[in-house]
Amino acid sequence: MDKERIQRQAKQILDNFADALACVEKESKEDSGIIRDEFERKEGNCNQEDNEFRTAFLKNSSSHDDDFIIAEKGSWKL
Amino acid sequence: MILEKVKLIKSGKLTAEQNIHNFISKIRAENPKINAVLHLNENAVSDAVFVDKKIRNNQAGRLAGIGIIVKSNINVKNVICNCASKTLENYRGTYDATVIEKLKKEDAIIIGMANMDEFACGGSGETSAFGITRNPNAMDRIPGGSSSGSAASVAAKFCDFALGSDTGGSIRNPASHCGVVGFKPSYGSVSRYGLIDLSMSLDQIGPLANSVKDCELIYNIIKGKDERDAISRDMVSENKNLKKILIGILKINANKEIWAAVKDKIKQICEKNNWKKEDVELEHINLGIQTYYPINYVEFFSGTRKFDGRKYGLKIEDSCGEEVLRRILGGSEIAKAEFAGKYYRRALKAKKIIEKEFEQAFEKYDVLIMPTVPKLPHEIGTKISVEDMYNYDVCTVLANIAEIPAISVPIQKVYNIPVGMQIMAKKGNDNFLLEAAKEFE
Repeated sequence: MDKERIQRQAKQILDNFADALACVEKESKEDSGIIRDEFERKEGNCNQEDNEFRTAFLKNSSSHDDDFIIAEKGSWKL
Repeated sequence: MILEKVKLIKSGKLTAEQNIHNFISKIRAENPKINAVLHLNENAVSDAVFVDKKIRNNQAGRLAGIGIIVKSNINVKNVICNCASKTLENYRGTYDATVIEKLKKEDAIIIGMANMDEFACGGSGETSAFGITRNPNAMDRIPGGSSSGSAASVAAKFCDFALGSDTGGSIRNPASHCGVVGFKPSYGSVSRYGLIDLSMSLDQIGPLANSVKDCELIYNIIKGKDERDAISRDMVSENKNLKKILIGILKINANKEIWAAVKDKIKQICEKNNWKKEDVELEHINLGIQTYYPINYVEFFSGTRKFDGRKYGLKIEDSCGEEVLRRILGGSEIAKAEFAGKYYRRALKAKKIIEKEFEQAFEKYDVLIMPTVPKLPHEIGTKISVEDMYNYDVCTVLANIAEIPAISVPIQKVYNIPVGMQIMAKKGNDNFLLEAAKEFE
C-alpha cells in the first residue's frame, strides 16, 4: 500500500470537511464537553482471580514465559 | 417471531439442539456463497443440549434455544473475535461482553461470529480482510456495512437474530440493503463493555432481526446501566399516545425512487392510523458527514494505539487494509496539536449544534422520518470514490451525532433491491420508537 498517497488523501478529505464546518465557528462560541451527574463508579472485586481469563489472555499472546507475556525482545539494543 | 419460536422450543415441539443444528447445516451449505459468517462457535450444539436440559427442569430463560450471530467486534469468551482483520486474525475473546452475558443468561445460543468491514471501517461490507459478504436479497450487490455479516445472516436465515454495532449507520445501513430490521438504541442505553471500539463517543450495540417486535425483545434484554461502561445509564421512555402522532419528514438529498417509496409508506400509515405529517428542514443536517468523519478518524486513531503487536495480534499499521490505514493516518494528523482546533474541536461544535436542532425538532414532532440510505447498494466490484462511499452514511450519521434512537424498517423493493425507511425519536424514547415502528411493518 502507498502510505504517503493514503496520508495525502486523508488530509485532503479532512481539509475539505474542516472548510465546510468553518461556518459553525461563528455560530457557536461554546466549547463542547460532557458533564456527568456522577463521577465515581463502583469498582468490582479486583482481588478475585480469574484463571480462565489468565489462560485465554496468555493464549492470545505471540510469546509468553509462564505467567509473563514477552512483549519486547530487546531489539532496541545495539 | 422469536417469542413464537421460544414457545415452540419450550413446548418440546422443537428442541434447542434441533434449532441450532438447523442453522449450522444451513450455514455450512450456503455460507460459502454469501460469506456472512466467519467462525462457528464450537460449543453451540453442546450449549443447546444444556438449554434443553434446563427446559426439562423448567429453568430456562426468555430466549431459550434461540440462535444468535454476533458481529466479530463484540467479545464472546473463547470464540474468535477478529474484527475481520488480519491484525487480530486468531484472537479469541477472553471474556463475554455485557450484552453477551445478558443474552446467555436468557439461554440464547451463540452460533458464530459475523463478517464485517475491517474494524467497522466501511459501509459496504467490502473492506473485510476475509472477503466480501454478498447481499442474500440481491446477490450481485453489496450488503452494506459495517455490520454486513450480521444483516446478511438475518436475511439468509442463518440465525434468529444478530448483534451489530452502529457508529454512523453500521446497523441500519446493511439492514436497509438486506431487507431486515436494524435498531440503533440511544447512545448510552446499551452497555458497550466488550465492544472493540471504532469511535467511542458514537458507538452503540444493537440488534438486527426479522421484525421490530424481535428487536424490541432483544433491546429490552440488553439495555440498562452497566458499571463497566461509564456512559451507560437506564433510560425510561416517555409515555406517548400512539393515537396522536405527528411525523416530521426530514428533507435530505436522496434517490427519487427511494423517496417515493418512503413517502408512499408514510401516506399509507397516516391514513390507516389518522396520524399527521409535515415536511421539516433542519439547517445543519447537511453537515452530518463533515462532522462525523473527523470525530471518527481521531477517536479510531486513539483507540487503535493498543494494537501495537506486543501483547496480542499484529501491529495494526503493518497488517490492516486501506480504509483502516486512511482513518489511522488521518486521525494522527488531527491529533497533532496544531490541527486539533481546526478539525476535532470544530467537529465537536457542529455535533452540539446538530444535537440541539434535533432536540428542538422533537419538541414538536413525535418521530422524524427519512430514507435509511440515500441510494441503492452498488454492484460488487464497482469502483467508487472515498467521498461517494462516505456519502452512503448521509442519513444515518445524524442519529449518532444527535445520540438518538433510530430504526431501519424494510418498506419495499426498488428494482428488486430492498429499501429501508429510517424512523428516529427523542433521546431515551427507544421503547416508544419501537412501538411506533411496528406500525410501519
